[in-house]
Amino acid sequence: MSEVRRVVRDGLWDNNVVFAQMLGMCPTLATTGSATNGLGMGLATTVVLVSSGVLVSLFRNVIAREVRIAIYVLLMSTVVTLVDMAMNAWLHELHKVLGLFIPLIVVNCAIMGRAEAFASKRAPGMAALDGLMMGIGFTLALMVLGGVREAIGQGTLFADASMLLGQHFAFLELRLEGYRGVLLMILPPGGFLALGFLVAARQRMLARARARSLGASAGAGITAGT
Amino acid sequence: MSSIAAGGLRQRPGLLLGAFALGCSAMLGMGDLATHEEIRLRQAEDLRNALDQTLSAVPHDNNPAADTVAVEDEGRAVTVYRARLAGEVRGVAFNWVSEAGYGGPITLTVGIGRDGRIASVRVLSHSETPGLGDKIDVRKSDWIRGFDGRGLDTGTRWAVRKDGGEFDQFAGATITPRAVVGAVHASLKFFAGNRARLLAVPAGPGGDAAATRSETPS
Repeated sequence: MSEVRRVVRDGLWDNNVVFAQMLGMCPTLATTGSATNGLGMGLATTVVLVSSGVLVSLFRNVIAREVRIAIYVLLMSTVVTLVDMAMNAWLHELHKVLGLFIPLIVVNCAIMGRAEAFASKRAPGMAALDGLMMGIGFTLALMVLGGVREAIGQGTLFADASMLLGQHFAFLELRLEGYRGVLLMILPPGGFLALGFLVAARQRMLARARARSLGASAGAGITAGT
Repeated sequence: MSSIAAGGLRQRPGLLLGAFALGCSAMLGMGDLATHEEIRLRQAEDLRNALDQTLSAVPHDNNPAADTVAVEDEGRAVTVYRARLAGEVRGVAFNWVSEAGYGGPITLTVGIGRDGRIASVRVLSHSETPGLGDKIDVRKSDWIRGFDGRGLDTGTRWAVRKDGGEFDQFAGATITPRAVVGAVHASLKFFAGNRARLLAVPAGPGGDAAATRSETPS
């Protein structure tokens, strides 16, 4: 498998930030009360993942091992602050909605994780691709988690998406009439519950796929690992 | 040359860290310079929008965002924006924070007419539970419009129904509406307590011009 395909697969599924690496739990659980909030947090994080990945990769031959963590922290907090200022100035409407998520990105250890595990060893182009894919994977995970909690919790999906994305996306907003919702799913415990069930579902899918491929390669029809 | 410098820095982590700190600070400084003015403009626009919304029921011909009075209230400074028509203060608007919210402080922008009645209340920021407490936001529900026209002298029972008042609580959320009702009530008392000062036409250049205008028969 080519390296580009590997990176894409890792980010989106095999090594997904939320469902496989289990990183960035604080923003994940805190912002997924609705699909729209999950999407917003995911997009803001993606921008930071890409830019911090490129920066770390550019300086990878200069940064001494002993102080690398301190330097990564410096670079990342600089990027987050710059993104915050730039959005406040030039994407003000979006900033009013996403603004509250941006400081939360600093506590997302997935960004530090990618700098240490990937960007510090690869060329800037590859680091950018990795950041983008990890970011998209993170965004999708947050949207699914937010969607599940929102649907069960208050019977809506993508409520207020038009406030984040503009009026063209108002069609995304769905509402189940006459459903009163389960408050628990919106509150913090619901985040843990939904995440647990989603991770379990993913594990089951992986186990099935593994069984199938083993069965196929053995050719004898042995259902392995069960 | 640069590779020699970089190689030298690698041997001295302290210097390297210092260099990065300097570089990052420079980037932040440049970022601030580039965005400072734009952010100030956007925030002024936000303020004007909020004041337009809360003072739309108060007839005025000035720019309330530029006509402010700072009033001390229990240790905190409240900036009051004034709406005037022909020099006379017809209404005021100010931000009022309630610490009694369920998910954190709730910031309201309250507009009050000269007669001491609510012109309009809007929630500026809150972190209440989505789907429950966030009905205080005018984009989600009309509940907040229920304050319009009420004052300390309108015989209003300033509490939610559960507490014997006349404002609806939400199904599953009492703390949030209770906090908002309490904050609106407190803001009315603040207005009543400082009424003379808030409605006085100041002796500043704006006040003088306005006073002259109203005295001169046209």
